[in-house]
Amino acid sequence: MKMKLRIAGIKPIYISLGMFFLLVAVFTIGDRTFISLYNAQTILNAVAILLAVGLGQVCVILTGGIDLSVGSIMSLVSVVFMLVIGQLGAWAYPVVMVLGLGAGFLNGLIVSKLRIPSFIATLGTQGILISVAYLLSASPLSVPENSYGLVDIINGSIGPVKNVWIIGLVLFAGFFAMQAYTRLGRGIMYIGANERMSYLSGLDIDRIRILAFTFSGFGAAVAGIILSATLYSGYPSIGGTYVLNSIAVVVVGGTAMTGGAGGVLNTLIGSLIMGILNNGMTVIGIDVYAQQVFLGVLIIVAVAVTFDRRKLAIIK
Amino acid sequence: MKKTLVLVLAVLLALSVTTAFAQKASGVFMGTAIRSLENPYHAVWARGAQSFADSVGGIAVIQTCEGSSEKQLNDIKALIAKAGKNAVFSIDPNESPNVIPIAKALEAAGVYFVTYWNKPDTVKVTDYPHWVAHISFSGTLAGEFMGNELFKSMGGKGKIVALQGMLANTTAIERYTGLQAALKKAPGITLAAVDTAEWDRTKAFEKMKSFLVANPDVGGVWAANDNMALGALEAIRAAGLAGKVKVVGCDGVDEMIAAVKAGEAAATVINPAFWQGGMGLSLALAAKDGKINVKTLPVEKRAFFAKAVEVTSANIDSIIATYVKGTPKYDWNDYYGSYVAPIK
Amino acid sequence: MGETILELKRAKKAFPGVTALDGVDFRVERNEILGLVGENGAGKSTLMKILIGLQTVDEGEYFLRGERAALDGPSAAIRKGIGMVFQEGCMIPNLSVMDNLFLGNEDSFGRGPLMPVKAMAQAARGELEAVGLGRLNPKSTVGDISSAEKQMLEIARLLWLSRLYGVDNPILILDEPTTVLQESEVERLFSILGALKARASIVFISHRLEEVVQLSDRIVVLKDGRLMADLGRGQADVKAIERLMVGHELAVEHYRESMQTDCGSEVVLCVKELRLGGRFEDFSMDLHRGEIVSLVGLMGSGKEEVCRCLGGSEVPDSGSIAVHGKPARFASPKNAIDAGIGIVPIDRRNDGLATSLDVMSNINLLILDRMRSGPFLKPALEKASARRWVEECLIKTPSLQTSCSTLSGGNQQKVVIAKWLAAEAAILVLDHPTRGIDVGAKDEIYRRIRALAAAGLSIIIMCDTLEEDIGLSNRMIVMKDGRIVREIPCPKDAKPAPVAVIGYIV
Repeated sequence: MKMKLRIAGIKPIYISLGMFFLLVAVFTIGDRTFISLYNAQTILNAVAILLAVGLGQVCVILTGGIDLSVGSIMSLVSVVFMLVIGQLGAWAYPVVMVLGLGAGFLNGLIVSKLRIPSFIATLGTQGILISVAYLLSASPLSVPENSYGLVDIINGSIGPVKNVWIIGLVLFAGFFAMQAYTRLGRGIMYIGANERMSYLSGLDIDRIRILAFTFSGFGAAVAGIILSATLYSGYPSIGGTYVLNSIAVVVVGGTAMTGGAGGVLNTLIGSLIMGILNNGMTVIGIDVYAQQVFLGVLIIVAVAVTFDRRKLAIIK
Repeated sequence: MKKTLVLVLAVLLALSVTTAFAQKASGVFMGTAIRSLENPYHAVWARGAQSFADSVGGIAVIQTCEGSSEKQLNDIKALIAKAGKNAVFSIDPNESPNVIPIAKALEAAGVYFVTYWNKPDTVKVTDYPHWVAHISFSGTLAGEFMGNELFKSMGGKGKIVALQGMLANTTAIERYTGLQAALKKAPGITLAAVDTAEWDRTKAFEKMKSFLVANPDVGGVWAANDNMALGALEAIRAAGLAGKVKVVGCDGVDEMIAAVKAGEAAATVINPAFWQGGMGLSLALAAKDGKINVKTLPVEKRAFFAKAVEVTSANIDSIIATYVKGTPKYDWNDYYGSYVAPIK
Repeated sequence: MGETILELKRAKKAFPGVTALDGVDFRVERNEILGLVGENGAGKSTLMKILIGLQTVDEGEYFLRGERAALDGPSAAIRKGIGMVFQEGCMIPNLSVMDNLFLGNEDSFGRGPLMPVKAMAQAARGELEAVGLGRLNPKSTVGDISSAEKQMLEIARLLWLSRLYGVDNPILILDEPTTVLQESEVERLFSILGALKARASIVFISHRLEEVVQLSDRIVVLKDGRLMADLGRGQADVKAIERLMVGHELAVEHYRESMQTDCGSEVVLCVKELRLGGRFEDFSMDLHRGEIVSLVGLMGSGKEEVCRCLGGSEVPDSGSIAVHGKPARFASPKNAIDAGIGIVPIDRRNDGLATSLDVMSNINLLILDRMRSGPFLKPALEKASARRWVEECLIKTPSLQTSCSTLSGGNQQKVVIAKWLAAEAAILVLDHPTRGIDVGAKDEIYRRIRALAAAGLSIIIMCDTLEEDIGLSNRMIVMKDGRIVREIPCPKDAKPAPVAVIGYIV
């Protein structure tokens, strides 16, 4: 009758952390090369992209909403990035970041001012944004050869430390500070935990929600830039898989889809778990189609043990 | 809670068992990075790769990216992490620009590799000492061959109509260029109408119906791929003209080969997926083993068009025996036997 | 002594850090009304949950009708003839009375593809009659009926189910049934329960000890997970029970009248001719510094809407509000808060708290702006503030990081009040501040309210009982049908008698 999957008394984040170490152990036993520096670099590059888009997504999910447009923002950013980097040079970076911020801001406006549920609103904008990307360029674009140096700012490394790790860490630090040490971060938690109370307590819910979506757009823009740089290209379908991936890293990290519980740190762990899973299964040589099965099962298990059910209590 | 724990452990156990199986073999890792095994073309490609790997005792690793360039790159890097220099690769890039990061990664790791189909023009194979070859099939030659066969079936005179692919698509443009080249050499043929059916069978059917209304005396149909040729053929059948008005297409799908056999189609072109799967690995392995020296190879051998399989009513029976019912035999050591022309 | 049909022997139940039940012997007899009392946290909830199978005992045994019982959930409990009636009913609001009554058991009316609506309606009428709802249309929607009717409907459902499962003498557990009822409805409930006694046993849980004493055949007192007393009818009076519950003598005076202070002369809040179409009109009042004004009236009198207008969650059609002499227009709660008005809502869990967040976050919600240096919050300041208010308001919590959902009702209420105090609200609107709070904690809330008034805060209050209104306030404003009908002063030594006031209200 009663399925109590959540381990009583243990915070979801510790379970996620445990899972992370368990996976590292299993894959290392599976193939020693899993923990080689080279492979770590590959994993962490993928993790940086997941982290960037996940950090944005978690801001929205903490408010109790969802952003389905992150994949389209990544795609649009990648296309625009490729289109402008030749002429604008390094200015292409701020330009596409502003583009992501603007797309997120638009989402926030639609959700809060038109009072449309985020699921529907962002479903709409994701269609619009991806269409814009297709109109700009339906076929894949690659980095102009004279701009390789600019893109390699992201692909480069300082000694064994890849620049993407630094980007990921800085982004994480920024989002962490926002969540833990600013009124906006608290506001996001308040709204997610109890929107009505937040309204009655005079919080500016619209403003907080718009900012949450703007942060989401920014995270997606950074993810789009890193992905574009990694692949030396941009095209409209580049971000397609990242809608579900961004939600997966958020929930696998133990953040509740209902909002108000979890956060940025959970998302870091979620990104690590997903990055490791994707890479580890290839390294130890699991059949590509079997991989999907393991991935699906592990996500369900992860959510089952980490999902915060406190908000779903039916008995008082 | 116990249930969960059991579930987790079961999954991990399954992972380890799978691993144990995967670890048994030893030899050179032969990576094949393709799109998906769901389409017949890449499925045959994978069989060619497997067949070659088996013939030299290597370990074939088939990686499908399911449309994600990032997954393709990361999977390749994962195999590099595992095998180091003890690997070779044969790659069909998910999107053409994806060859840039892939080439950079493989070059940095010192792994020899071969790529197929499209790459950005600005990317030069000769800039990468481990990039053994980039091989493609000429759309222009295919389009010209199709045109010639069609005209031949019409006795060198009459009206034809043409169905193009997506207008912006490179392959579509190349094949149509080929048709125009053929037309120049055939003064008895006039191109009565041309339109795009966007590679689509249903659209081709509709377009062909209106062509038949405007040009009841049309003698042949040139379509940029088999899908559209088959769509047009249906309209021709409906008009009771099957066998009299012939179609030509490209890609060599089974239904089209049957149409050639039945005398309703004049020609098609097969891209030899099995050969691609095996030869990519064979070339890369030859470079790795020192059998060919990449540094001294002439430029035209680094980026070239290979021979496609041309299907006409003349060779249809042997084509069916070799490619449809059987598996073609190739000499994997005949590295440049299919060389046709350099890619400029 | 009647026949024992339910018995719990030496029941123990512990949660991390708390022993909820510590060897409790508990029994229910045939055809009796058993009163169960105890402070919040005494173990009543846990006991109830064990009885209906939501939780199992760590140690001890559970017998139903002489057989060892192992229930794995409320539905199993109902099959064995034991069910719980929740305060607001636990129904599907958009279905009809009849559908809710027979929910999940429609098969008993035949297994045809179509629901035998007529037969069901007929049966429903009979069931409703038995609980005094003879006039209720079985086809009306549950969302539209009153709280009292929902409760009775739930009782009817349990009785019907027990007959369906062939259980003789079912046991009904009523959790705080009277808090959502009007006075007249309470009397009706009691007469129906008295009649039901002939064919059922009733466990009656309430904070209103007078009611418990009036209704129960037997009273069981829980304290700190132990059974303190098992008293027969006539053996106990309210005072004695209170003593048993809290373990020490409560003050003689109920509402801390001796702490009542006279208010200042300064008018803090001036409301003139406020009107909200269809709800209330011509509402004017002055609220002085340090004054407690109680708004009294029945449901529909308009007092709730007046408070909502003062809190900014509803916008009046006309009239004026001035705070400290400055005219104010409240378009949203934020405006009211900025003007210094704080609302402690009746529904703490949904309107007052983020229960999934910790004590510290809830207390500091309104004042985060003061805890910054530059753009960033300073955790040290946040902790200091939260600690100060936890101490000042005597909030019992294991730590500042404890989730509010785990606190008792009284402590949750104190967190809500602390939130407004931290924000230095000059005017507080307390909407039923002691609802669902046990005796000991109530007294603390009363002291707190007195202390706030003495410190100069002005308070508008709406209470659970008329006695509480009279006892707490300096002045009462009685409303009826949207208008003020009377102002009654309630000075310290000359409180009016409830009977003298009730006439104006009804």
